Amino acid sequence: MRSWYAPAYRTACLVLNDASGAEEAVQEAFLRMWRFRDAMPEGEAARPWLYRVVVNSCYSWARKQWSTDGRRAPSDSLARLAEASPGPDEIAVIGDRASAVRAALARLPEALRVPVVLRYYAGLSEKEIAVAIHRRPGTVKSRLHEARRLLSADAALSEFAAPEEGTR
Amino acid sequence: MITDDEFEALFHEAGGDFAVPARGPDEILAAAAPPVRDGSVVPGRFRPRQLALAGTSVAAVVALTIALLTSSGGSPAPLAASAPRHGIANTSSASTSGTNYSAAILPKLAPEAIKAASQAANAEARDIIATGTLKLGLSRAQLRGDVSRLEALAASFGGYVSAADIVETGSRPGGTIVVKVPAGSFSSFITKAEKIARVRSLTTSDTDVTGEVVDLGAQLTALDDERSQLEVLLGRAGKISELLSVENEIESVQSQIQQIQGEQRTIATQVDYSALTVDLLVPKAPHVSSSPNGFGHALHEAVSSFVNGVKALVAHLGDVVFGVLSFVVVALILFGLWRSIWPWVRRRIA
Repeated sequence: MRSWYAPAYRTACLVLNDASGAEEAVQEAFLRMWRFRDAMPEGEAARPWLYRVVVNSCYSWARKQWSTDGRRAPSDSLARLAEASPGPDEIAVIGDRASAVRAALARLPEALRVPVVLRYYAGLSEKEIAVAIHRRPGTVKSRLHEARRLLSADAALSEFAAPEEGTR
Repeated sequence: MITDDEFEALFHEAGGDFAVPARGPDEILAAAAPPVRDGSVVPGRFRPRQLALAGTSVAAVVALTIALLTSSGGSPAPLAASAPRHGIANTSSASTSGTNYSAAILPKLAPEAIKAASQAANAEARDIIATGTLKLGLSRAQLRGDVSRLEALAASFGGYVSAADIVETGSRPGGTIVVKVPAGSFSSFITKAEKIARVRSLTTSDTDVTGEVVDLGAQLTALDDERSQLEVLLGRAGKISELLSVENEIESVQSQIQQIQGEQRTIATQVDYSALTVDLLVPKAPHVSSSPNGFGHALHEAVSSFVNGVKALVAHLGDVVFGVLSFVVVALILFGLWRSIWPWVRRRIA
């Protein structure tokens, strides 16, 4: 369980773009896991189950933020995250790839951010993501496609893409 | 377009940028694990529910022992009579655990006797919701009196009328009343209610809700444990945010507990009191018709035939009759005018 803390924490950080929120969410997730440890599947099925608990805790934390931050809509709070993060111009100056990724993720809608983080940071397959976010694999596939499209189009990230062969 | 490998590299770089709190997992595991003192697990304090469960289990074991030792034929009637019919998951689990204990403590007893006692106890502890519909046919004059008799009968069994919808006037008098009587007296009540008026039909049904009751009890136990764990966490919360978070969680669990307790009470009431829906059916007033034979009938037939013939004639010759009538009316008007003008014309000519 200890070895699993770091990836869960970083996944929550990428999803929430908030370190203290991620800490609280992962703490809550670990408590839930402990409470429902008897229901934890064995083998390969354990990983999506664990991430599912983490994602649900992140949603819970976001909802609490919504209720304590003057009844603002969750999308609004996420929009605030995007506003707080540096824009593409600043990032280009800073040249910080990690910040650029975090900023691009913050600009993504929540429904796209969660699957893309689970895919490219946590390394879950599409089927495992479907289990983790309780959606159909087809939905996951389309969301990943849309997330990739938006991220590739993001000015802050496109700089870090390798130049395509054959491009003029 | 960014490739999958590039995405992975970028995301790992972004994720690795977050410093993992060093004491995070240890704090959580320490909070979740049971409290330890001097290397041994501290025995948790007994809650009233646990004490009640343990007491019921011991009582069940004693009752089973007495029943099996005193009955010559191995009849488990005393235990069956002592076990409550409905109740709650605690009752079911208590009786089950009691049987298991008896099997362990009394190995010399015949296994058949233990099995029979267990089956009887389980059968008796089932939670059944009994309902029924009784349709009674009665006259309009009897309606008010029969409703009063049903109310009095329900009261005599310790029941009551929970709903009534009676119409005494109009073309369709009748109605429905719902009577609730103690489950043990349900069949006796039906037997007596059947004598009040003529029975058109009777249907009864029994729904076994034992599983639902046990499930609710298990949920309640789990939530109770969860609340206890959260109370422990509340004592250890250091930051205000943690305190608020745990308090919110406790509030949510408490609300779920109250909801389940409400459902348990509803089911217990339904099990305790069986509902009989009594439909009071008053037949329509008989339709008085004329004699189908005799002189009156013949006259009626003749008049009907004449009227029908006229109707058919008018229908077929409607246009012709309308034309003739119009012509006659116009002719009469012209004739009238001629009669009034002709004397004046004759005088002028003369």
